[in-house]
Amino acid sequence: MSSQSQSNSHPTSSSHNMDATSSNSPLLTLDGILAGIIATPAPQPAVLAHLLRTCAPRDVRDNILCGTTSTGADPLLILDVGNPGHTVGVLYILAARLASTTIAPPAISYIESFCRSFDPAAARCAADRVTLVAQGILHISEASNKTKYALQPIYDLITRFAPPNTLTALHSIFLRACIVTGNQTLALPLLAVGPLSPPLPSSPSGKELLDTLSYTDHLTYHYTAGFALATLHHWPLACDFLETVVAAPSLSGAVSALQLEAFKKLTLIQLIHTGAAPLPPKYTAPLLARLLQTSPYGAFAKAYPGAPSYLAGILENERALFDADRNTGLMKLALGRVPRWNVRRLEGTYASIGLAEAGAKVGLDEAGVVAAVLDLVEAGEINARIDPPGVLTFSSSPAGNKARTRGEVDRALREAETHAVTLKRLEMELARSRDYLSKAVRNREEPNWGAVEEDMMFAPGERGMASFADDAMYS
Amino acid sequence: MEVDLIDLDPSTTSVAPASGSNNNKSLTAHPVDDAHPFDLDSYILSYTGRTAVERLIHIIPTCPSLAPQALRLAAKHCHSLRDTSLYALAVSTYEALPSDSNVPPVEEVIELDSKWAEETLKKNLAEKTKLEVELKTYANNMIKESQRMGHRDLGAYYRSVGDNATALKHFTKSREYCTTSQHVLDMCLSVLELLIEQRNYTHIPTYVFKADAALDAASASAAKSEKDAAAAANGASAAPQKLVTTGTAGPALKKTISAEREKVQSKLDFASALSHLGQGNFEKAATTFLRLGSADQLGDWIGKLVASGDIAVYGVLCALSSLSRSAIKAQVLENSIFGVYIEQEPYVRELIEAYMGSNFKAALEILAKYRTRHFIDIHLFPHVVDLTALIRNRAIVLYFKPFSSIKLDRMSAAFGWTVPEVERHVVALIQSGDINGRVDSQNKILQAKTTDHRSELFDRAIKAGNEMQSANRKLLLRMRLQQADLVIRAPKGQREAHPSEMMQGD
Repeated sequence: MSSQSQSNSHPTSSSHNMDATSSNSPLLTLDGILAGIIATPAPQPAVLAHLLRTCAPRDVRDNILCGTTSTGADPLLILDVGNPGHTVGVLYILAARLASTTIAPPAISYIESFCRSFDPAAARCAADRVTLVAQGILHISEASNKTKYALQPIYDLITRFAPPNTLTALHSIFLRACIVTGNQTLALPLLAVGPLSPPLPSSPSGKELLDTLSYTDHLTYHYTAGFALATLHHWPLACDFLETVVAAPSLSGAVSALQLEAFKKLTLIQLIHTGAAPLPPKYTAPLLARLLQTSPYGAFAKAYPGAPSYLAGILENERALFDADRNTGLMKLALGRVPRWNVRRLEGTYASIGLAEAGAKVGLDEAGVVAAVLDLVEAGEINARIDPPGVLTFSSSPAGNKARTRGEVDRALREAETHAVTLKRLEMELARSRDYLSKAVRNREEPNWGAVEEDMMFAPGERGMASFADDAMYS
Repeated sequence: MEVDLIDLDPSTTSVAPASGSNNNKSLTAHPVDDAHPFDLDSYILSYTGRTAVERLIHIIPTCPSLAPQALRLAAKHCHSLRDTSLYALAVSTYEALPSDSNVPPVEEVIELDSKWAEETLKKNLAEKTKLEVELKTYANNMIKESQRMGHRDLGAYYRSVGDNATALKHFTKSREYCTTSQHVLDMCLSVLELLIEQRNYTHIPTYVFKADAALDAASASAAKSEKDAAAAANGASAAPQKLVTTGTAGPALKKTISAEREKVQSKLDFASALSHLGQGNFEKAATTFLRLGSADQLGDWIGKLVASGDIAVYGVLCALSSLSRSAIKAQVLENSIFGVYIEQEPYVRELIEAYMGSNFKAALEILAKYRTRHFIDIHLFPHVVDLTALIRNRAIVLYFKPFSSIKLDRMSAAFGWTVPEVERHVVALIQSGDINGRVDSQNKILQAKTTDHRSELFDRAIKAGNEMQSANRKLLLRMRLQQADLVIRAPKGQREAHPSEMMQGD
């Protein structure tokens, strides 16, 4: 949807520029368009994309693109999916065909082969069409009740199209499809890299990619990613994703409902994973923290891992709320792990303790204690053994303090070094960026001018936007 | 007949010290026997006036076995006062004792003296009218000093009849007519007396603060005026001589001023120490009690508000519960001024000696033995349980400190507890982080935790590094989001389009 508004927002008048360089009329037939795509020497993808975007009003153009050539041939068959020069053209035609309600969609095999072999650099020039194609694929597969078939093409699309570690509008489409079909494991290779950052405006075709993105894409992707990972019990990574949503930057304290949902899930997952819910990062909107604190989730987290009966009482009393939020499952998981945390706490207090005594302290029977101990030992959280039989003996050095090998230390040092280099490079980039320099120079030369200018800048203009964005950046 | 007496003045009963009636509910009875020695007669001898009666009233429900004696003494003391409500309160407290406490009825203990009550009331009324008329005359004459004194006298009157609220009103009203800082100081001290009597601990610091400021101003101006006077007296004599005389007169003069100052300062210190104690701030209370001046500096407050033995008890209990061993040594044992207070209560010295000698069993036994004595004190009783627990915990921590491992049954012998009891206390202390050790519950051994500092350091460094990296990653991601302008915005009106894209599109 976002990309549509984008293509609409381009004034058709700008096509006048094109009239000067190329004749308009031949492009307004499919034959003309095809000729433009196939022309030798092959046009630059960016030029071609611009040409196609601006040749006619959208609906007219898409109508033309859905048609056949004057000879009745299918344009998609004329174009070669493997040819990098044809990628943009195929994208436009595919997007139009997939969106059309009157024409039968192209064969799934054709789409699959395109997704496997298109040219990523060219496709990034028409990023909005890629999004449309992905949406179209999902749409037709849903219409035929075979959502599963959409997963592989979209996955190929993403892996080839998206620059490494970069968020695109495709990600959330794909992930949602994965969750709907229950195939979260398919997304694991994508999710394993952690939260994704948006493309840099200054990177090649970064601007085109950014144009297809809105803040909701970023929230939706990271939220669904957290959700998918939680269903797979990948707790730490799920926490990372959800925290990204909770701590997402906002303008003048605006808060998204998705953030609150993410915060609820994050709190529960942290309880499950670490036994406590630490405070969110400092830059989290204060309203969010307040909302959560006053909700039953806040009460639950505060009492955790206290008396199980009290916690179960919260779950029971607010059952309707938790059901509505679809968090009952997580709550139950968290509740089930209360004795585990209590067993872990025993390590700090006891050097050895009888299983029965330990069970009495944490509210488990002996078998339960054994299970919890095995689980904790397996997770490397405690260092204990059951020896002599019936007696739980904790090792004299707690699991947290395991001796570090030389390799570990070296690796940590190397990581820190690369990190420092990255930070240094970023700082230097920032220090020579135009925004920063102009601001710094302005402040030095005329300390008062900035303030006056800000007062007078109510008219929305180029500069107004720039300072607007800057304010948000430093807020 | 006693019913008549109580009904005599319902108005004053209602304003009678609220704390008196509050106490009855929260108190549990404490025995007085060989194991818990307490001599009421000698105890009450240290007090005069209202506080004696109030203490006796507190004793009635605390130690039912002493109740008849306490009531008799209270009645005796009341006759020298003019507050009939206090008398009524004593009687009603006695009557409110649970029926199973086996005390003789009131009539057998004291003879209710309604004649005295009526006469006192009549006298009080006359006095009140007289003072009010006086104040009115002063107000008409607009003489500030007389008005101040009028309010002060009325305040003192209301205080003596137990109407604390009105007394406070008059005292604070007199503030408006104070012309010198000495007057302000007097006012503050009167209010402090009143507040201590009321046991209004939260209010005390305000007036201590005000009095401190007034004290500075008063002593500065006193020093100045006396200096001027000395200079004027010597003005006629030759200049070099003047230098000499002022030089000799100075120290003597300063001495009187500073002595006066110290007296007031001691009172203020006592008031703030008591307020710290009242608010459960034991460490601050301990340090303040321990730097108090000698008993004669407290002047008439000894007896009227507190006995010097009480100060010893408060100071030492607070010190044991909150100060380190070295601080106790420096501030209690080597403190000659506080030593004088301690002499008033020999058992307190035994307690410190047992504690400092690490004879914790004896120390805890002394605490248990003098429980009743502590519960009987009107300022101390709400904190006795806390203080005892704190001292016990510190004792356990201190005891374990030199060991790397110790059998729990040895600890149980040292503290006079059973092994499960010791284990319970120790586990609680480990979980609160006071003892750095672990219990071997199977063999009943407490072991100190051994930490490998080298690996701990590596651990901490690597953990800090990881945390910092992840924090940086998050911040960088945030920065990128802001650079890309993927920022959450409040929806504007009905428009669904994302402003971010509009901006990017331009």
